[in-house]
Amino acid sequence: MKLKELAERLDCRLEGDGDVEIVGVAALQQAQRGDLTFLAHAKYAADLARTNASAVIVGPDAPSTDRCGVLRADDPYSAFARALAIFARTTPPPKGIDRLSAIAADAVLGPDVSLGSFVTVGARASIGARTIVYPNVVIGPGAAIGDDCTLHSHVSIRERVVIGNRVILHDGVVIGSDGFGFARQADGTHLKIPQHAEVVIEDDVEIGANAAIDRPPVGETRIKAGTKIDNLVHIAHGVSIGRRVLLAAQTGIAGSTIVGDDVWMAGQCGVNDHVRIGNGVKVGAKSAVLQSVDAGGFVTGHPAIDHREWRRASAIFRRLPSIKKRVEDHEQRLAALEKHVGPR
Amino acid sequence: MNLRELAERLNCRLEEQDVDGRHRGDVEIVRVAGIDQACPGDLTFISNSKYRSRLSATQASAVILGPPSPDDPPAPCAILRSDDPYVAFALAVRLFARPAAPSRGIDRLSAIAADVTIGADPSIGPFVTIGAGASIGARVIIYPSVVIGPGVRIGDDCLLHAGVSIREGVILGHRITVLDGAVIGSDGFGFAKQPDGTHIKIPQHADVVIEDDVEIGANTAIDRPAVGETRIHAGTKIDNLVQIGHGVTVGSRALLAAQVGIAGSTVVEDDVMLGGQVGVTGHVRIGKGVMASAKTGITGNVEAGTLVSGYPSLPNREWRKSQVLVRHLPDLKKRVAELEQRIAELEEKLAECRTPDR
Repeated sequence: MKLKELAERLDCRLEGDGDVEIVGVAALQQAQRGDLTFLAHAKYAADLARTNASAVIVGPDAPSTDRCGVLRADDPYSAFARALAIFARTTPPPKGIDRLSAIAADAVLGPDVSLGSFVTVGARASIGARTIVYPNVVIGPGAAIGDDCTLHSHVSIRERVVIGNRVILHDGVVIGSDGFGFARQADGTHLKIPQHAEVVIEDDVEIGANAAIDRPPVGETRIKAGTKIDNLVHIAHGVSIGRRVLLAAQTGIAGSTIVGDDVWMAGQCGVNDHVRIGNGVKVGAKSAVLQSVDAGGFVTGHPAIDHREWRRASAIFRRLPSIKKRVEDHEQRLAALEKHVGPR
Repeated sequence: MNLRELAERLNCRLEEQDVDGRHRGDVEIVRVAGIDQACPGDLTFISNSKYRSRLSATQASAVILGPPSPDDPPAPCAILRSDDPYVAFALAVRLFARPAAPSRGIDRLSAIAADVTIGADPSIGPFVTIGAGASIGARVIIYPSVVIGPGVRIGDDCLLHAGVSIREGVILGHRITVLDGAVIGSDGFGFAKQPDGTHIKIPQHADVVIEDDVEIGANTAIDRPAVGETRIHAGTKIDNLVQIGHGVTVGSRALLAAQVGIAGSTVVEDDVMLGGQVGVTGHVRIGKGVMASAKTGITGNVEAGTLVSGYPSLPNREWRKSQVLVRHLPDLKKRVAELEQRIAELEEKLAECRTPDR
């Protein structure tokens, strides 16, 4: 595709030769002639001067370069995403129903559903149109899956779980496993509290590899539309996650907590049970959120506190030895002064 | 196997002592066991001095010990001396281990695309799926329910445990072990935020390469990037439930303990050791030989050879000096309050001195 045509399709402003032929997308350092690349971060600007790419996508404020053609975008990240969608070497998913799958007689399959080998679909389960199910997925009895979903290998959808449209579940995701609920007995053993209530995953949600979303004993666990969840995340029973939320890898959210819309959590965060995280809250990596956070807040640390306070406190942490020494110095100087001034 | 032969095979020196008129080299060893559980006929070992005191009570027939030390308690059994007792122990376990050998051949309940190439002497279990155009090396063992995507290349002598997912186009070298449920080549977590607050997916279709002699733990996930590659260099060992973000490079011989997470595009150089639950932010470089203690949160580049701890991470010595004071913070606060009080009293006195005739 010619660069000028690409500029049009990506809604970018072209700087340089529009007749250059673009055949692929590559990282700044590995790009070859014919590749389009992307300046992801200002810290890679030096690599731009050495790139072999034929064109680069940059933001509105980035300096121009005569090393290669420039596609200037108001939102370079989105332009890059669209360029990848044009050029990506995708592997076409399998078509049709594999004869080595086990599908209950009363399961309902929409048009053009693909089911891979060793897929099990339980009684009364339904799968919407064009949904792709990779090998070794298990869909429990009564589960309902919408249209245009992708379920990668080894996904487990437990009985009666409801999944919306255009949902992507990566390999090994478990949805609807039993919540961790036990009642302690007088003899110290723990009696299982049956966990059979609902789990609902709304439209356009994506869930990363080996993440687990538990079901509660009563009520529901719900992930609302457009939320993206990274690998190895744990969502406990009865949690509600809002719309357009981003949860990075290895984050864990304890039971019955409510996470508002547009929340961002970085990697390895933990959130206490029965708290409320307001709309638009940001949580720094590795934080332990023990209490509710008001909408728009930005918290970090263990326990999580206001991010700016945490940064200041963290900076002081490494100065604690010098602070202790200053206190000791002051005690000595003061004692000398007190001697000088005489007894009280 | 008698002890004399074992000593030779483990490259240990057997301490020559006769007991009850029987030469110790003739003692028959049948198993390797921990110091507390060992029975007669067992070989045990001490590599950590913490366990030295347990030696006198062991029932083992022989023990692997490091070079002689004056602190050594008397051993109630034969002694195999080694410069590196832990390595000798590892070799001993390998000698006596009887791993459950999977049946040879290709199970008839597997689904293998017609154009897949498979090397000599495979062992492929039931419910294994191998996609079109994949190639599998010689002597590879694939346990049940493994899914190998189209175009995947796997080298010789690899071992894939049950329920592993190797996504399309991933490349694995030789002698790689992947434990149950691990996922290699899942989509990186990359989205572009739109003006309406929604996120469009940035397609993640680039390469993942796992080099020779790597081990990957149970339910670990290694993501693929949008462009470039994610690469784990030779000899690196990764524990369970580790997250490797898209575009990450992990060097050779690195050790990543359980639940470590490394965010996108970070470079971890050779011989790095990360303790359990360590987190590393994206786009940083962890220098050769860096060590991070458990639960460290690394937020920037770390220079080669340093030991770091804490969150945000600090050089370990500095972190320890501050960390030891954390428990004294209430006392420190009290001392500051006392200082303030004494200064106030002093100021009062000085004021009195300055106005004597009021």
